[in-house]
Amino acid sequence: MKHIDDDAALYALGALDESERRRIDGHVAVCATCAGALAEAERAVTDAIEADPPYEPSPALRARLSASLDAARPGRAATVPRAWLAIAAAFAILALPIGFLTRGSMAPPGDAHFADASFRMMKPGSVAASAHVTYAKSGDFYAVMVKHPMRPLQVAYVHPDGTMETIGTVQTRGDVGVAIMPIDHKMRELALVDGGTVVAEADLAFN
Amino acid sequence: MSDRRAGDPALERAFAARERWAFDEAYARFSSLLYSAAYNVLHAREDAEDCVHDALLRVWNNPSAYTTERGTLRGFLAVCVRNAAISRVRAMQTRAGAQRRAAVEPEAEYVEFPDVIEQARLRAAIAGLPDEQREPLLLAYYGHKTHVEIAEALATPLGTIKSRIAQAVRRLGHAMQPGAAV
Repeated sequence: MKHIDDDAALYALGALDESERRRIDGHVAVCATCAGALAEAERAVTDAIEADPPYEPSPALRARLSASLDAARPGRAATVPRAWLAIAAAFAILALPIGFLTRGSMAPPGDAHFADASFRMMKPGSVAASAHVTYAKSGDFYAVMVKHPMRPLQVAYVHPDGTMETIGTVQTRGDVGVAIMPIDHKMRELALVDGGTVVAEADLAFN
Repeated sequence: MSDRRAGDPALERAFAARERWAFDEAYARFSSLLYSAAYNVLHAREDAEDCVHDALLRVWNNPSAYTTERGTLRGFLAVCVRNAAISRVRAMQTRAGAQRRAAVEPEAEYVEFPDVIEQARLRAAIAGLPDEQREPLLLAYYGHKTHVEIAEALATPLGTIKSRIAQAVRRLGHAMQPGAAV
């Protein structure tokens, strides 16, 4: 197999396209000589990066990474959009009703624009202690809160014919799981799904 | 005094084995380096954080991405994030360029190099390179050009450009070694 030679420097500098980088990744996985050459080039470029003035990421990045790792099953990528994480953190930490947060402190929680429903757990305590959904009757979003989730769960619509459509993943922070999803169309049944099996259902009442 | 550039075999073995504490420790040690690598390319805080987040998850979720034979975790992650940032820039340029190219003349291939080389060793190392090595190195490092684009911009055969960049990186590496003369 051809050694990477000068391509080590190009890889480390970012001067190769993605297909070329994949070719080199495959080669250095089986060639210790080239792995060493690439490591040396990476060290030089990393030294150059560190020589420039440093910048610090916001603390939110660490929280976002932790949430993504917690939500991911081994071997499967899972990412947490920044905006959702911020909203989820607000719910998890403050545990305020949706209506209270979105309509300001003067609006009473649970007013006519919002509704709540509890999920019926198929086997209480097997995957979570309990779960609730708050939703905007006007058709803006669902917000699902799961207490003490034991595993990553998905949220799905249940169509009238019984088929399911996954619409979100419950992101866990500590002992609270949250999923916030825009409403594409008003469905009267939501389900919590664990690896393809429905573990809880909720009936929703739109006006 | 320990050299922060040296590897940490225990951390690297644990990271390769995907032990969660190793991820947290690596982030604690390298978050500034990784974020700087992304920010220096993207020049936007949210884009840089997205880039670091996605690149780290991609590495972590691919068990074969990093092995201890691959080199230090520091260099591997920094180049991984930098490459991811450059890919983002190229994707953005491709989208923007598709509209722009139809209306305007092609931009000059040379890019302006703002005064970003502030550290004396790096500045001296780059300044000490022969012109034929410095130009392609700067186009790659600060201009985020591919070797093909650099060869076209400098009207030089591709093999020559690759060789010159490799020589420049080797010289840069030697010059940036601890104890090297400034």
